[in-house]
Amino acid sequence: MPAALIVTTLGLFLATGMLYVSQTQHRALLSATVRSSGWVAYQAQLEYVKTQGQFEVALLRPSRRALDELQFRLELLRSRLPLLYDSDEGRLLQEVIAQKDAVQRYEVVLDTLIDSLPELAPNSEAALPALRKGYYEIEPLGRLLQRVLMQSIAYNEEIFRREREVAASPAIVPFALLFVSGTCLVVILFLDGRRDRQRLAETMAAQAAVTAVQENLRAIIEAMPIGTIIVDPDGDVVRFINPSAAALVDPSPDHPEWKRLVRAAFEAAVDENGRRSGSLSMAFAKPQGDIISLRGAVCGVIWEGRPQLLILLTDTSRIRNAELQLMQAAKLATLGEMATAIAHELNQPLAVIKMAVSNARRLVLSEADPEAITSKLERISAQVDRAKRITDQVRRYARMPSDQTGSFSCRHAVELAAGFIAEQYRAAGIRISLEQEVSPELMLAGDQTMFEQVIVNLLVNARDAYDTVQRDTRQAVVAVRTQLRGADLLIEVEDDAGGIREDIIGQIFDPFCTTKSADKGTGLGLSMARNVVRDMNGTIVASNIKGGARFTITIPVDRGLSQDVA
Amino acid sequence: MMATRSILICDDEAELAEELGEFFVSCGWEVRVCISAPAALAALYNGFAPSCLLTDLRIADHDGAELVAHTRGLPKHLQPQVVAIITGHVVSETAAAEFNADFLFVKPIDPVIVMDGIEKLLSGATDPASSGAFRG
Repeated sequence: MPAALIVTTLGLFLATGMLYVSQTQHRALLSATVRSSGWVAYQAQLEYVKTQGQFEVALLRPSRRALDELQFRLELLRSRLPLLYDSDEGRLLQEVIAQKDAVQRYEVVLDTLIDSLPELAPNSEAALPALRKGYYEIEPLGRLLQRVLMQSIAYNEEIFRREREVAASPAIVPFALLFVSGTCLVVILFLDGRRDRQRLAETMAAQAAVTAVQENLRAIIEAMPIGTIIVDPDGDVVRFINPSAAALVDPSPDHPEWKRLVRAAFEAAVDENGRRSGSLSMAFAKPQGDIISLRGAVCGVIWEGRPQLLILLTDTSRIRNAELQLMQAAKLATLGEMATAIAHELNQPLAVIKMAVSNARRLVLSEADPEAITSKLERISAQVDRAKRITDQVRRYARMPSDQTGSFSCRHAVELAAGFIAEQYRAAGIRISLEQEVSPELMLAGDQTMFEQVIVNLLVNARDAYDTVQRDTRQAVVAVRTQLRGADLLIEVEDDAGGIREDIIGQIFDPFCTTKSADKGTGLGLSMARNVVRDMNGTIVASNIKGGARFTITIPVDRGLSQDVA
Repeated sequence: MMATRSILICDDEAELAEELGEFFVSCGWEVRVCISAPAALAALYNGFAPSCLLTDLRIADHDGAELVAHTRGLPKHLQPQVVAIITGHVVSETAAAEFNADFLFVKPIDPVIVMDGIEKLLSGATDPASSGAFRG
């Protein structure tokens, strides 16, 4: 709006100036031209009078000289006539232009007279009648010229009158334009001033609001039960901590332990592009020695006018402990389900030992070859080792999971899990097909026993699935595959036991969702599996394939190794 | 003098089968050990008619109960007099009759008990119908 007014005002000023100059020039030109046109008419009238006078002289005393003088006058008159309508001055007066045809007719008459005079003898009888005829022929031209002269004079008088009026009255239009321009300028200045005052008021109000918001925000941050840490990325210096964060390390941001926490948080939150941004889940050893579970996020913020990094942390130790307890409960439940199979597995070496002991006793009593007795003892020892391996597996399996992560070989963990359940599979007449494409050096970050538990759970589920279907003559096979696909590790457990019911496949990972009977399943196994895989930054999905089910675990390998206990 | 007893032992736990066989041999029995059900069936069909068939219940790819059923379907002169099952599974209350066997021994068990039971039955001292699970 002000810009438009400024442009309008400038335009008005310019137009005023141009109009004034134009009017002045035009008036001067018009005045000069019309005055000139009067002069042309006067000259023509004067020449006409002179020519008529010469006619009268020639009629009184016809002589060669008088005729020559008459011819000269006629030529002068003839030369004046075109100026009446064919000059700049003549073209301005419409009344003069309207007489053009009449004037041109007299031009022809004059030309004829001029041409005839040299042949006319002054003393001949035809001289006087010819001169008289010519005199009367051009007589109407005099009246015509008189009218033109009078019109020019009338114009001149009108122009003089107007000039006098204009001279007497001020130039109203330019003054009016100047007034409008000035008014516009005043309006512009007024509006601009008012707008600036409004802006100033708005800016001050906004500043007050921002200050209030900042104060509220700081109060909220101070009161938040979430640990809030502001870190200057230049040197990772802690600039601000709220009381919840202070409880994690120390109330002073200068405490050296903050560096360790900040570094651990950044390492835990680093994304695949190496940027320190995103969610995090980590364990942290407090200066007092307690190990706590922390979850949160890192993101960039503008703090006190500078780009800073914001770390939000929540102590999830209690939740995590509950989760770990739940995982343990699920593991023990699975172990309970496997108790019969484990008992059978343990009975095998015990049975061999029992038989070997009996035979050894007989050999001792019969004082047989000591070598044969030694052989029996070695067999007994080997079977004890076999039983120990089974109890070791059970002990490993039953161990309480911890939040401390380490790195382990994926291939080895899958082999251990498959080995743990191999005897049960053998007894159930199901073959495990291990198709491991990853090298033993491929390491994953996490709790190995929990990861093994996930695989065992999937294998137990596959085994149990065969109990619910009519087995044909084909060998039941459960495939366990590990392979790398891009930056992801894929672990698949696939059976051909009929698949998962479509009505529950969407909730299969929800706690207490199970298709097994109450004595066989708690419904916690897959829920726990999902939590374990999630803690490894991975995903687990279930799908039905032709004739069976497939569980696919996807773990990003590069991130899987990035988390250690700080 | 008592006639020579013979026994066909079938268990995919090779060392167990071997120890059991060794024990019966030491007691004067004619012993044949198989570690798969097809091998045991082949021995029976090839004319080996043991006094006793002692088989594991779960044998690798086969069910010991199926071996027992096949044995019961053999011609009379090829059928063992005593059919016994030995298993590591928990079958506390399971009667041997459910598997159409004369005995059901539960691992681990003393081979003396196994042989005593079989001997008694072969000599007609035990009523097979009353037999159940034997524990060592």
